[in-house]
Amino acid sequence: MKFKIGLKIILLGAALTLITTSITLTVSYHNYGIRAENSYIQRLDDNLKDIDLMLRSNDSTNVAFIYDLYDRVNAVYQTDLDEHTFSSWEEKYTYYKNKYPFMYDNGGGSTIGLSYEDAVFNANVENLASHLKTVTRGADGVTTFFAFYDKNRNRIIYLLDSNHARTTSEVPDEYYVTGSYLDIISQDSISFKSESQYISAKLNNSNFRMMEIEKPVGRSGLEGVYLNCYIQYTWNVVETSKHEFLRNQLAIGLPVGIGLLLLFVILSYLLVIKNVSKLKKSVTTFTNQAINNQKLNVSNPNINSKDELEELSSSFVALENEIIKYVDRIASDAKEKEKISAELAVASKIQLEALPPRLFSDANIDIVADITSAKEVGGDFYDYFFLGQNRLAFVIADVSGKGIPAALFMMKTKELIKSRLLSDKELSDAMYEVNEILNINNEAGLFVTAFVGIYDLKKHYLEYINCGHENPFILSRDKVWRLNCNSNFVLGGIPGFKYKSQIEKLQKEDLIFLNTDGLNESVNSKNEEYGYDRVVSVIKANLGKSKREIVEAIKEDLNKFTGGLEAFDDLTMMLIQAKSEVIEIEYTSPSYEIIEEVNHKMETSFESLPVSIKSSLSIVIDEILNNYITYNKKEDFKIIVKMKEENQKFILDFYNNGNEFNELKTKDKYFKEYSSELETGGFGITLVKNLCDKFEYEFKDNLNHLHLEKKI
Amino acid sequence: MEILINHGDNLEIILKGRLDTVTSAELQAALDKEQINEKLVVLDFKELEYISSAGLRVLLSLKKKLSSEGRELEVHNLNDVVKEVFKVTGFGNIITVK
Repeated sequence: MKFKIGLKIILLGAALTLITTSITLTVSYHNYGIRAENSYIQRLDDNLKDIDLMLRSNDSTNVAFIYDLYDRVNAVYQTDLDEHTFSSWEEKYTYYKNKYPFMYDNGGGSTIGLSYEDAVFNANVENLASHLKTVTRGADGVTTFFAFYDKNRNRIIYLLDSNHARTTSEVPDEYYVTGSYLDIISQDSISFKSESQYISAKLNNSNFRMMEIEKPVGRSGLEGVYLNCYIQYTWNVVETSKHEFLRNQLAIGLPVGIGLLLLFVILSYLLVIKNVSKLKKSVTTFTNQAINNQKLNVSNPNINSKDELEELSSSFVALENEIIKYVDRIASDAKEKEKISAELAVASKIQLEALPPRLFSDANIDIVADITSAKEVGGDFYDYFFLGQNRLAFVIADVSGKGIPAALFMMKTKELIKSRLLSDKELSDAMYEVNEILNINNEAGLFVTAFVGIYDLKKHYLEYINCGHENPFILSRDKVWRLNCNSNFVLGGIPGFKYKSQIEKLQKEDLIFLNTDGLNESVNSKNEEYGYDRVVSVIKANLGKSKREIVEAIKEDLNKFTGGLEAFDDLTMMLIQAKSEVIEIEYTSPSYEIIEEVNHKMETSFESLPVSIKSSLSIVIDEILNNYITYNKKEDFKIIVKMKEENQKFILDFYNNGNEFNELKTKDKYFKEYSSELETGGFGITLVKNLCDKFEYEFKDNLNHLHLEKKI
Repeated sequence: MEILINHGDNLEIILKGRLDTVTSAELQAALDKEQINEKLVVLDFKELEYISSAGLRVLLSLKKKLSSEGRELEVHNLNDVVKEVFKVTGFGNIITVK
């Protein structure tokens, strides 16, 4: 809405103009009306005054005459008191003319029986009538007459009218004919006794001004006689005059009012609206530029009205300038941030690529590592490398702090440890040297916790030094336990520290679980730590699974615990496990003796197996090989046996090149009770199925293949 | 496998080692040679590592022989593996286990 304010101002101005004009006009009209009426009445009263003077002149001869007239008329009237209605003016005139002949000219000038007195009477009547006429001459719509009041019948009876004409028998124009009367209806107002000389009366819906005619001196018997002079008038003249007045007023008032309104509009536009509009335009232009991401230009409203609008305008321009400055600053900051972020991403990549692969597997060892940095670059690291053919060196470490300083220190530490170990030093000496070097030029006071181990892959001895790091877990066949490490000080803490290594004899199948404290110290929204109890329970729940699955299970459980809360520390895990040998033996044209051999191989190669497991496996080997040999007598009969231990399971694979036969299909055998007819054939497979956790058969590449698994 | 046979009120046979395909034949041979007069024959498995189906066959044959002569057969001191074997095959239902 473009000129809402302007519209409001104009409406206000128009309303004010209209109101004042209306009030002025109404008041002046009203006042004029009253004055006009008053002056009119005054004129009428002047007329009555004139009549009064006229009546009093000549020693009030006229007054005497009026009362004479009254006598004569009244005498006739008293004889004719009934109500009269006439259907036409002619009828009325004719009736009253006949009733009161002395009021009318009989024609010719000389009338039979007309005496001098009559002549005088006539002359007086005419004189009076013409006087009346003179007085009210030119007064529009005004009639003057004399009348007297009949109290009994509440009527006024006409005596003489200013229009009275003494004509011949021709019926004149209508006038108040002598003897006719006007009934005073109860609503009419008339008073014959009043303080003021001239009084108003409204009779028969007509307006009258009346004056009492004083009784003549010396006359008696006039009590109860009310003889008045009446002027009947209309307000027409006054109305006309009022209307003319109103027209004049409007003729002036309207143009003046409109002129004022226009002036008001122009002034308000020039003083206020124009500037408001300018300001609005500037503000909306700038705001739209901001919203639509266009280039921001400082606006120039150019308001010099020396009022609040000018102040508002300058404030806004100042604000625009600040916004533009701010936006520019933000933009350059963002560019800067992007640059840094890009470089950090590259740094992160370099750092991660410096670490060895997260998955490593050869004939002797399986390694699975997992690392998650809290920031782009982190302070955790893991490392592993071979010292000769049979020894694996590994490190897991956590640099104090995060971000770039920790990352740089981490790279340095990693390379130091590796170079010292590769130079064939004793573990203790190597770590001593690493610590010394890290303490040089370490004003930042960074340090690193580390667990360094050298694992003999043949004899399964683990030599290690724990420098202030978390103790690793060992997942043995039947339990999860923690390495009991002596606490050596952190690396890079204080120079001269004497690090001492320890040795632990592990079992071949033991899994070494290493982590940094980002794992156990992760918190949830209630600030509770994840803790090692949870770690251990997840590991125990996933004991038979692959190392990768164990890592994923821990990460999933941790994520559930933290509820997806952002990690504040790096998280690293490393799982190391020596691989068991795979025993593979092949026999051609075997005899029953090989059963003993295979059993012996099983018992010696996997000597750490519990006795009961070994016994069960012996039975299985016995049954299968017994069947193979018994039922396959052909010449080049071949048997292959494969054995290995993996993921808490013992796995047996039997192959033979005999006829296709799946012994697993053999029905199970079971004795319910003794009878002399019992046979033991078929018990072998029953035992195998019950002693193994998994058994599968396939015929592939012309070999019968039986795959058996037993949980350890 | 070592086989110790003691005659007395009961015939006591102690087995040391394992009763598999090969050693079962040894046991069978030893049993065939013995004259059994006792009412009750007790096999002590305290030092028996395990028993395979071949061993079970020898036991069944012994049971049949003794039953036809009106004699009893018991096995004592089974370890877990042997117990499992007896359970799985139902041998515990035909030979008294103590």
